[in-house]
Amino acid sequence: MIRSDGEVVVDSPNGGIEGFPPIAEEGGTLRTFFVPKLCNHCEEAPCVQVCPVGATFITDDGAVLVDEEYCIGCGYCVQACPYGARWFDPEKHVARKCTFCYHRLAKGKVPACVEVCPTSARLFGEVGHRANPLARFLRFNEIQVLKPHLNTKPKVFYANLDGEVR
Amino acid sequence: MQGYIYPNEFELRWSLLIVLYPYLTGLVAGAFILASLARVFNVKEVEPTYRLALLTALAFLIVAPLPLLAHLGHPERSYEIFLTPNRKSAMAMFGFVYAWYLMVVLLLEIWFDYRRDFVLRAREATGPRKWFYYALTLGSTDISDRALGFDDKAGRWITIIGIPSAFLLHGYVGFIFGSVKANPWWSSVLMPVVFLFSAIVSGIALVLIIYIVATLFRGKKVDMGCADKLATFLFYAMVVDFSLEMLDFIHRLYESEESIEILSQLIEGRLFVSLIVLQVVLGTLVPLIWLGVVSPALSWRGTRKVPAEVRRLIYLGCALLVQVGIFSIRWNVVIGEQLFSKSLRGLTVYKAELLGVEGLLMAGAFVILPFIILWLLVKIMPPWVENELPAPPEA
Repeated sequence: MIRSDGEVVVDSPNGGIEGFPPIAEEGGTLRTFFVPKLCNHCEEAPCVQVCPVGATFITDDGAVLVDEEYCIGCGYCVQACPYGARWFDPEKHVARKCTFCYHRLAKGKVPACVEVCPTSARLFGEVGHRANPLARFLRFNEIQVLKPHLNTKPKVFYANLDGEVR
Repeated sequence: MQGYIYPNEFELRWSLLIVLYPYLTGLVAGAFILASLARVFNVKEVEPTYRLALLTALAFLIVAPLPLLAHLGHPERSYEIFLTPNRKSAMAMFGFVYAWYLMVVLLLEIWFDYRRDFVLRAREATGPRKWFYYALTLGSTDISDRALGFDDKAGRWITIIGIPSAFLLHGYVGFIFGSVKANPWWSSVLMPVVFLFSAIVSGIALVLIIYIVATLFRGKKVDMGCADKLATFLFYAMVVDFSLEMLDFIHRLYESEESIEILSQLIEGRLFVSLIVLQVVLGTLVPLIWLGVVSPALSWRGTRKVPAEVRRLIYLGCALLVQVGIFSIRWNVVIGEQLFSKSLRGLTVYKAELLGVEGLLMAGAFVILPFIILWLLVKIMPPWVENELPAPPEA
């Protein structure tokens, strides 16, 4: 939320599981919006670069995955990800992340978050393909990526992203 | 917690053990560089600490990777770093830098330096001790002048290779942190250089502490020429180190990038004690002033004339404060980095636990362990000048 005085308030109470109660703020609201953050499956992924054993890798079709049988659990990738997209599995003691539901992709399905979104706010497709819904979307919208100055070349694109989003 | 942080930032992934790792590695590099002063640069005054510095470097080098290992989620897979390293990973390559330093530089130099002693001890001793020292000679028992001349030459060359290696060792640790572009607190080209000079500072201070304390416990007289020289070098190294840190600080402040706001909050709040009070004031400025006044760094007899006993105590106090300061640097780098969110919108807190693998007790054990190893090494290979074995009678 951006207040009328320009101050930005970001919150995600309890991960958003119980919804988002209205924020009682004095001075009025300028804009409010949601920004889902997920692994950006970067083309130049810092997490892949730093992994000492190569347990994190980019698949031929572009998803960034972790081999749980191979990860030594050093946590360097957690530090290197600019998007806070990696976490440490307290039971398996390895790094975990969004896989774009790779198990579903392998069966020709789209990721679960894309499938269940009631307003079709998420689109999934092959980047660089000329004639799919994603290509059309990228053509007709103003597209941004997160932290472009880091040159990670994300494959998660946002349309009409507010400049306050980092 | 304050402001907004990503869910994965609530718990700090790198904790106290990772603070220890650059701290211990820095002591190794610093102690070695001190040893090289005597060996390569012929600084005669610090010779009493030459062997001690080498043994200190070895003791700490043995322990340095242990906190890393203990911290891993799967330590049993750590060998993969050597078998299938990702050549683009700074951390993977560190394994090789470490191995090079241990095997090629430190062990070889110590062996060449002590080979004569091993041979003489093997001749003198009886029973298992004889065999133990004989094993240490690796079967090379020739101590003719020519052989010893070769040892000396080899040791000298290894030190010459060792200096850039020690620079590489700790500069590399700085690179592991400084090359992470995701984090504005780390991402700095100065990081390896700052790490290197802080390593030299910490290494000299450590050897100074061990030298003074060990000499007092042995009931011997501290060689004040040596202590003065160590204090002088400590002072110079601290001036360079502090200047670099200030340069880094001013540069950040002047560039005033996107992250400056959250970093200011970090320094003014969460890191105030560890950065301003411990690192800058107690760990740097106070010892700098004392050393500047007492040691012969600024004028050859010291700006103020102080009796040797008091000077010794001041050196010891300064060196201890320096250790606190350097540990705080490592703390501020490793823990400080994780206290603010990569969204740059919030701060979290770190509470060290007492027990457990990453707890205070474990960390304490990793700090004490190198001293135990050093004690053993000193028993096996006395580094003191008066222990030098006389030349064997001519046959």
